[in-house]
Amino acid sequence: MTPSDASIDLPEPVAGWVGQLRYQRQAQALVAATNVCALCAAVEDANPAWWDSAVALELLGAEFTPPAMVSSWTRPELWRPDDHSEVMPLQLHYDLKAAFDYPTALVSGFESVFYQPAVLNDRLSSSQLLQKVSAEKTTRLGRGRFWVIEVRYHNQDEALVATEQFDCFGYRREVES
Amino acid sequence: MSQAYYSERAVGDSLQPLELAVTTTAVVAGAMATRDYSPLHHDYQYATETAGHADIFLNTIHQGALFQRLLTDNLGPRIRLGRLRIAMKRPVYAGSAVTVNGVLTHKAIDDFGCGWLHFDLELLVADELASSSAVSCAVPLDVADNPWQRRGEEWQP
Repeated sequence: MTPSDASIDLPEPVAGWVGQLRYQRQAQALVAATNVCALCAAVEDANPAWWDSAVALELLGAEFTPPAMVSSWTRPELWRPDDHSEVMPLQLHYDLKAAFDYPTALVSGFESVFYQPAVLNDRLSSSQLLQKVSAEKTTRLGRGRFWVIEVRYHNQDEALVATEQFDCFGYRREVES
Repeated sequence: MSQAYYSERAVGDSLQPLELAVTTTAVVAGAMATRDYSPLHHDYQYATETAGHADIFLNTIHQGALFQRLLTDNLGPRIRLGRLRIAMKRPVYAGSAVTVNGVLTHKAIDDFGCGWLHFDLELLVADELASSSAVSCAVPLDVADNPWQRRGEEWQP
């Protein structure tokens, strides 16, 4: 991944998105033990911190959740009677794909950094930040642009819980002449 | 589940591998647990006929949970994940037998006395690399140390 520096000319509205926090949303769901146990069951994880509240209380002083689950808590419900918006968890990625009119856009990797643990009954919020967009480049997949999006998660006390940085590439296949 | 301490691990040490059968039910259960309703993780017809995959497949958080289990199985519940990077190479389809392994690449104690172990991890399907991961986790220095109790500037992931 080789995103260029911020000095390249970007078309609007993308140029205005760089460095701007967007899609600041509060989670519809509270952090819940049932989801933690269901995921740990799916991978047969016997770590007592996720199953035994006494162990969790000894470790942290509260019942908490596996750090890598953080993005689970801000995903929207499949349906709600009071919310018919169609914002995706990584909406900026889809906005960029549409803005550049790329048929395909993929996430090639991501890095999470974990700060204050999410504890049961927290209500997290998330926001998305476009860090940078490259000039158009040709790769083996096609011609397109790299972009980097950071998602930030905070709890109800505005404490930073985690950040996730996504490396993305939007492109169209080049037709051989 | 026993607890490892910082001084017990050396650069180059391998983790005891984790082997697991990824069933269709587990793929769906992981997706629902993480509130991921993409049909790629529960709808066989969509995954195969519309998206061109061989089957439904694990979502990213589910893969992260496998890497996390590998670490706590080997190092104990008092380790604390600080940083997790995952690069996906190919999907992990339902019906796969996966192996997750890892090696300690470097270790250090930071300015606040927190012991860090850094691992390169791999998720393999039939000996082919499906995902790779680089992880930093805090490990207790001794029986009195608990990384989960670190707050503010004492926690520098």
